[in-house]
Amino acid sequence: MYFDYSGNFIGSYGDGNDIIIAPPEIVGKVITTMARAVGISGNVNVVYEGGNICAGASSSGDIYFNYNANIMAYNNYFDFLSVLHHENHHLMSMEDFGTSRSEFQALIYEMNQPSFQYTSDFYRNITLNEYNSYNPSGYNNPSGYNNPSGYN
Amino acid sequence: MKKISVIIVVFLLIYNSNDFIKAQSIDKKYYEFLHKAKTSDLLYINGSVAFLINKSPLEIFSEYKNLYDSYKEVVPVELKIEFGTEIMPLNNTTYQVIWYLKDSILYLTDIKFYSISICDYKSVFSNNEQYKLMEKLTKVNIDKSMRPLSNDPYRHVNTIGMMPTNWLNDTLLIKRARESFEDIEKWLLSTPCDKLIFRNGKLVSMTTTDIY
Repeated sequence: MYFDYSGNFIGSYGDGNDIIIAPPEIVGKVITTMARAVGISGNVNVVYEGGNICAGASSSGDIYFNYNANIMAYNNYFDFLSVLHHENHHLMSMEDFGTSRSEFQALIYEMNQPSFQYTSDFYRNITLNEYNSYNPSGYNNPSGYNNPSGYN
Repeated sequence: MKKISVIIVVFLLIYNSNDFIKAQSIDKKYYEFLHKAKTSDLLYINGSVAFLINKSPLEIFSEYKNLYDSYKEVVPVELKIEFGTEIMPLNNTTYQVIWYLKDSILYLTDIKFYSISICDYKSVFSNNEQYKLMEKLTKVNIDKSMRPLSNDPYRHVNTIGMMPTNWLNDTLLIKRARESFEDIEKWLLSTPCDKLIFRNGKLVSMTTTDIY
């Protein structure tokens, strides 16, 4: 996948998943372009957090993308796209914001996107296991929600 | 040629679904702690090893979740976190407390706000009001003679001191947090929870459980 220095999508070449991007300002522009393509209209900010944080969405509608995220090491375009699908679902369901139901639904939404199958093994593994920690009940911290699982 | 193509397709299908099958085959009991944990707080024991906690030591204070509501910069954030490294901040959690168990005493060593970049803390809390509000809530002063943790620049920003948890008379379940890139299956299957019993903030018992 190729993007220009303003973050505009230029095109793709070959059938690989690689995305090569470097400085934070370029990352911000590229992620913004990708975010617009999946339907995110709010601000997209690049932040600097520990590597275990991929991204975030605030209740004010902004998206945060962590420049230090470990997924950056895999240079996989579809990892970034999947993160954006996840965050977009949070923005589309603000009525549930901050609940375990919201997180569970966001995981299902991103895993149901056709692009999820092209994510890196690393990304797919952490996402599937995150989903497993909710499944089969669906919801953690069942404050105010039904919890039909075997967990009490 | 056709046979080879079929074999390649079957191989690719199996290879691509390997993670999914592996993830689905792990018994749900190994997700029990992650499923039940109610706080995103982290505990460090004797330095650099981080543990997940099942509930916040601040739970006894009913208003602890709303402590920083007067700051417009402090808002809930939904995070995409690498599995097992932290608990998701749910139920409108806006901040994460970092705890430190040192010489059998549990201390509050840091407060991390999800919606504020660490380099902006000083502009929001110019006089370290975040710690003053915490002192007001717990009615315990920070012990300035106790040096806070400082080994992780993304979690440890406090330089003032640590707050002993004199109020804590409770039992906590903890599970070592997965390190980034650590094998998930191995971590899940080989990291049982420990049960910690505290009296007035002092650890009186620590036992390994069969809870995962």
